[in-house]
Amino acid sequence: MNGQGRILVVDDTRPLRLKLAAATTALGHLCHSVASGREALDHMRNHPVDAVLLDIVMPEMDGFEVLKAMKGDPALKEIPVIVISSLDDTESAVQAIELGAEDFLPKNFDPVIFKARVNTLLQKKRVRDAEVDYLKQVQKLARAAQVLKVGNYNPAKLGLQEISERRDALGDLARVFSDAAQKVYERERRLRQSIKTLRGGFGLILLGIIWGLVAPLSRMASGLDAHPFGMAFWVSLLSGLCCIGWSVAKGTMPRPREIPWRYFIAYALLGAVVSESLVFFVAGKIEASIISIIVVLEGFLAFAFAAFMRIEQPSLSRFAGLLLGLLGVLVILYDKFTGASSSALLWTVVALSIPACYAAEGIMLAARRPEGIATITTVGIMQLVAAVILLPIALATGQMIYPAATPGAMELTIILIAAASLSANVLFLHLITGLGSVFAGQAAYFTTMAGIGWSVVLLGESLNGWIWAALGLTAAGLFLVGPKHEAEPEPPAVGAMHEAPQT
Amino acid sequence: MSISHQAIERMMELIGGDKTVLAEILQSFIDEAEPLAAAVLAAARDGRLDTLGRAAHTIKSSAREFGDAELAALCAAIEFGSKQGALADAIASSEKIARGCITLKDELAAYIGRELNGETA
Repeated sequence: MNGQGRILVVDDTRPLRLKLAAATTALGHLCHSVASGREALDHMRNHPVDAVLLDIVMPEMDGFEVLKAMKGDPALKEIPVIVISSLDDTESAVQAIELGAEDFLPKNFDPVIFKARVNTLLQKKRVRDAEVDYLKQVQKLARAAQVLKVGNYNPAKLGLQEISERRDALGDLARVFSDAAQKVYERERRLRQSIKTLRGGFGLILLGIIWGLVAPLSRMASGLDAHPFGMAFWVSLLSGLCCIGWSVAKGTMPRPREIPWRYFIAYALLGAVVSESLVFFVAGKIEASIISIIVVLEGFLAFAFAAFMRIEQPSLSRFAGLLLGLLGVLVILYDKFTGASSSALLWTVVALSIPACYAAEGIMLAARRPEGIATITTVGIMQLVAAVILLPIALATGQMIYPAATPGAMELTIILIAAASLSANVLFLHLITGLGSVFAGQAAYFTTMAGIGWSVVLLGESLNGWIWAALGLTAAGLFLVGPKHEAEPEPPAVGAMHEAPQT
Repeated sequence: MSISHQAIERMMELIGGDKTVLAEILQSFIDEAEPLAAAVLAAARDGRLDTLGRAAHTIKSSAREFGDAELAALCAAIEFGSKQGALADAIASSEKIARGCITLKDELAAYIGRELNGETA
């Protein structure tokens, strides 16, 4: 409120209403006039009013009743009232004052007195408003202190922006509070980010170790003459049943009509039908360590897809890292060109589709994931859908594997691959959900390293100089690309904080 | 019974010297005067003291505004009597008020014509 006040005139007699309105307007104030007590209360409840000039004798609801209603309403009781009435008895004036009126004037008042009374009343209102405002801000500061006391240092939750703008001791105190909270919050945020990155890193290593097992195990299965489509079918079926069994036991299984089947068909094609079948086919033709090195392309492809889809901004160093990784793969291809049969070369090229499937799967899962379906349930549905797709293919191609009555090496290998596939898929989805597809795509590097390690340990494969050179190039590429910084939003600066609703 | 030019000039000062607004205020009483006079007479005839008291109060307020002390005093007496619940000469008094109200209206109309619109008699 500046020098101009918002005054409400309440009088049922039109000439007097007009006179009071004109008098307040002549004093430079804004005036609204009404003819009854009821209208006056309605107006005050819906519009800001700084002072009321109130008549007493009015039909239906007189001025005394208006005063009573105002004093009973917390939103109106602070509005000052001057009763202006032609009542001649002193009792009425006393009653009006007792009911909360600030002053009492006869209707044929002196203009000088009227001006003095109205302006004094508005001045008092301004002082009172400032006091109320100050007290409210002190209360806000006290609430902010309570928020800090319980350990919530998010500056946005303190609601101190308005108080921080004050140029007095209260404003200083609010700024001290906000600055301290901002610093602590920032430290906490960095700590949370570090923990998140650390946990993500462990998840990547674990995922790499588990996923790295798949290629050597697949190679072992091919040594047992296992058919690729039959293998893929049984791996999908077993891992799918395990996940769905768990989901049913936990009560997280959605109703069939709640499942987006098209999404799961695409997910199954990328994450199991094509990729797993390819791994089993390729494992019979080329060494497991080579497959593992080729899988490293997933990380690079994930970056490429993410940049193409504008999920992540590409940079020069990342681009250089991509080129180095590709160079590593080309070194492997060169090695295969010079030292292997044309069939192995063909299968090496075919193997390039495996990381492409994984990268596309990661991007798809990151871009859109079915809402309200748990991670294990999601993987379970995907694997069962894959099994349903693979069954007719395995039967039609004569590649169906019929388990022996007495489980042997092949059955054990299938179970191991299913367990590895299940764990890797759940972990992969978990990492994507929490850290993004690009970060999860880094698992490919650990998969490659673990895959080479497993191939050496389980299959006795050896690596020549070219392979080591390829590995070195991809590691350098990994260093240049670096993990994406998955972080929560920065806290707002003190000056930009929004007022938070106070509870 | 007669208006006071001094009272009207004070009103003019109060509203910031705007003749148009003053004319509007006076005209608003002129518009209400006859219904008010009729209301006073009817209330007195029917013995509705509440209504009579309120109508007398309204006329009293306006009479004071325009400086008609005699009419204001008459209205105050009726208002007081109606509050006490005893009005021996209610009809006679209300007739006087009604006449005073109409006179006030005519004087105000003349004032507007003469003082605010610059008409000559």
